[in-house]
Amino acid sequence: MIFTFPAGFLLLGLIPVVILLHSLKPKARPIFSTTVYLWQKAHREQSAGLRLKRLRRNIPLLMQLLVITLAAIALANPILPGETSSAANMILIVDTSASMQAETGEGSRIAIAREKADQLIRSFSGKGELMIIGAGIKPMIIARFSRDTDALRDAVSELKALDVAGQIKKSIYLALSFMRPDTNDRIVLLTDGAGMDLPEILSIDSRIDPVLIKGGSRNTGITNFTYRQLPDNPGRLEFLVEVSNFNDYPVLCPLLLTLDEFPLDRRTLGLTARQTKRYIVPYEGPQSGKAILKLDLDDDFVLDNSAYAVFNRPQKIYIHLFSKESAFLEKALRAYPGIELNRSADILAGSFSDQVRQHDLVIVNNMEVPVVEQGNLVLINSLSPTLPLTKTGNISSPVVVDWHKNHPLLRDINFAGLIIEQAALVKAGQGPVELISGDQSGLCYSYENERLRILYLGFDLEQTNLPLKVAFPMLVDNILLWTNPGVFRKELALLKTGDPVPLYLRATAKEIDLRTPSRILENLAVDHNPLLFSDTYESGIYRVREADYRFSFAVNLFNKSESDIIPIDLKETQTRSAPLPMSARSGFSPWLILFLLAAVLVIIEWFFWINP
Amino acid sequence: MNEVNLSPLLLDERLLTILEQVRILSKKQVRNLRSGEQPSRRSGGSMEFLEYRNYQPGDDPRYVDWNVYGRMNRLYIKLFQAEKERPVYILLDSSKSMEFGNPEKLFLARQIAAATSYISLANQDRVGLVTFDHGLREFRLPEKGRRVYLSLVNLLNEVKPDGETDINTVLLDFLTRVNRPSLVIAISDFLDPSGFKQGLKACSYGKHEVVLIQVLDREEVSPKTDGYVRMGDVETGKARSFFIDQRLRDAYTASFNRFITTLRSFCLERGFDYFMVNTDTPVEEVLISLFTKGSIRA
Repeated sequence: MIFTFPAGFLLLGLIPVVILLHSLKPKARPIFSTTVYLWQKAHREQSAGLRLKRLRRNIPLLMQLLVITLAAIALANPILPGETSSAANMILIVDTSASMQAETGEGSRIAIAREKADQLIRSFSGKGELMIIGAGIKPMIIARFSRDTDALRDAVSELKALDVAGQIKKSIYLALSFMRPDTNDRIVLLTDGAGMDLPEILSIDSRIDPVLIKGGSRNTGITNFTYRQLPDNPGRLEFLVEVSNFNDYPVLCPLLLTLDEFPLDRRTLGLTARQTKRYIVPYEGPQSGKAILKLDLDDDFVLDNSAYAVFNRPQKIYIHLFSKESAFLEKALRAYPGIELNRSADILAGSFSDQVRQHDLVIVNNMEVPVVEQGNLVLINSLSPTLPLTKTGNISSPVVVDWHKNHPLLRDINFAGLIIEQAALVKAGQGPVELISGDQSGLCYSYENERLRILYLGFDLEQTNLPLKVAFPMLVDNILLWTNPGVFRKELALLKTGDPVPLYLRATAKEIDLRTPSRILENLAVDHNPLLFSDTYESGIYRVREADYRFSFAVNLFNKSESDIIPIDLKETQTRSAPLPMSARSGFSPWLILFLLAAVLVIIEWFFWINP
Repeated sequence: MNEVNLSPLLLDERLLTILEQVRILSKKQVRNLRSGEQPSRRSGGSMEFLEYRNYQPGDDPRYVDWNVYGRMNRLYIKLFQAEKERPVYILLDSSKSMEFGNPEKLFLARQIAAATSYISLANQDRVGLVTFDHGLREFRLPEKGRRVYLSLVNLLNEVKPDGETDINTVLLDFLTRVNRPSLVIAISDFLDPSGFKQGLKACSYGKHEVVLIQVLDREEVSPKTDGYVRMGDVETGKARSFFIDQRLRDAYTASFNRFITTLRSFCLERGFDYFMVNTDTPVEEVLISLFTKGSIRA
């Protein structure tokens, strides 16, 4: 027999109360008598058959105890194992978040979860099917609905806790999408409860049976580690370190910061219970290499005892400018320190495609452009057959009526007051996005496909006041970011596990080698640029190599909820040590019979009470 | 009868009238029922000749029959029949238990004592009054004459219930003081945990005529008490807690009836008269019962 609501047994707490009430004697009324000795004698005689008489006298008590017991059992909703009319499915959700790596003394939490899941699969005796979902940064179906317990157990044995924050709620919703209405389908959630609001999750649906994995509570971890260049001194850096003590007692934290294994800072930090401290380590020196921060402390959760940061060596951007002359543009480009700018006065049609492929950006000013298949291009008052734009004439003094404010090329730019003497009247085919709208024609378009990015400006820079406006250098900046974003962006230094990483590759890249922190080498085909890499499930340093182009990025957990591994304490009503076997789920529940029996007993007792 | 100053507490005019009627009625009934069985004491008198016997030294020379000596020249002592008049002793239980009841058992007991003494005195009997609890408290020797009645009534009025009952000790003590066969009228509840048999048995050895009048309250005979009580003994003060329900009441009634039966049987075996009266019984009914049965001569 299985009880689906064991909290109902709390009603048994009434038993001592009833016994106490029965054992209470009314306050004795003092009277006097001349025949006390006869009363005593009568009392003694009456006590001769005391056992039976006591039993008779205690019948009301016994009945009340029986009523309470029956009501408690009924409330606990007992289920007698039985055949099910409809096969009930069970979905096992196993928490694979970082906190499940915590050591419990009996193995890691994930190992215990695997063991419990294995037990559940072995005890699965219903006619339904069983599905397994891994709940990491995103829900992952580990095994589809199946009755093949061997395959299911194999799938469970492969489960590992990732270095990511858990997204249990998403997994719950995914599981619920597989639940059939009007069935006994159940969800069994194996989790440690860290990094989530478990009561809220359980309130999503009553068919969720939580199984808490407990054990392991000592942890102090690095919860942030980053760096920044000082604005007034770009040659100088500051490392920001944040360490949190998740214990209920103070700890001393020995910390060591190294850059390419060269120690930069060593200190011991004292933290009181549940305290977080931050400190800054200034650094001046070469801004390249791998910075590693280590917390040398023996606790139950080692993942957050290390943190990583990577400085990628600044890379040059090769730009080729095809222009008779363009003082504004050339001056603006040369202001960037990492730009190698070549300029040609004419385009050689036979070598243009190679030139485009070999440069990070090609800018053509007032020239006819041959067909190109790949590369980054800025066409200023120039058109290419590659670009689905057809020039139909010229327009004088077009007025800017609107611009695409959300496009990355026009980010933070205000074109109000832009004066253009003359612009090309163009007709756009499919593909180009109109960025600046004039009163008669589009004035600026962007176009991109898998290997090609083109910005088209439909007017001569010499015939506009754009170079004199603040918008111009911002436009140049946006163009460089749009066409070569990975070179300028710093986001790679601040990645968290599970975050997708845009890998900005050279335009010629066709495949890359990516080595994970656990030294697994993956070969990825480049079908987009940037290539979005989302399998950042390990914390550590990832290395990317494409021919001679190499860079690294670091990924860290930095999630206080996951690092706070102190087991949560759900009320008994919200959890149970083991979920119900499916056979029990589909069995017969005699709660109504028990309840009616209790009610009948109450009526009988009431009857005898009024008719003693 | 009117010459006696009667206490209104005990015998009022109405009751005295009733007593007179009872006396006349009971006289007839005694003659009819007991003639030949119990000759009247007054029929022979106290100086009736019985026999002669030889004079022995130490005999009272006043009883020498000088006429016989003149004829036979020998000293003979003239013996007379012993005086048959037996004194009446009224033993009144004045222990604390007699205070119990509604009305108090002692009230009825005093009325009975007053009535019996009145009748006895009226019959020229000598009446003594003894009050007792665990021992003899007052011991008034038997006296004759209606004038005694007033002092007896005053004594009865002064009786205050107190002390524990000890029937055996009291009766044994009483018998050491009273050697002559007497009519002993014991008025008590006889509710003594230590029993009564030893004392009553001693009474029978002394050739006393014993009348037991057991005065009880209705609550003692058939109690109505219910619920959880702390029951204190009126004499000892010792208390016991009981939950009194119908079952315990039944058990008590059975036990009480056994006690009564034992007392009644004991009296029957030894020729004692036994009367049980309730406090709510009118005293005239009690007296009629006493006199009609002949236990007390009217």
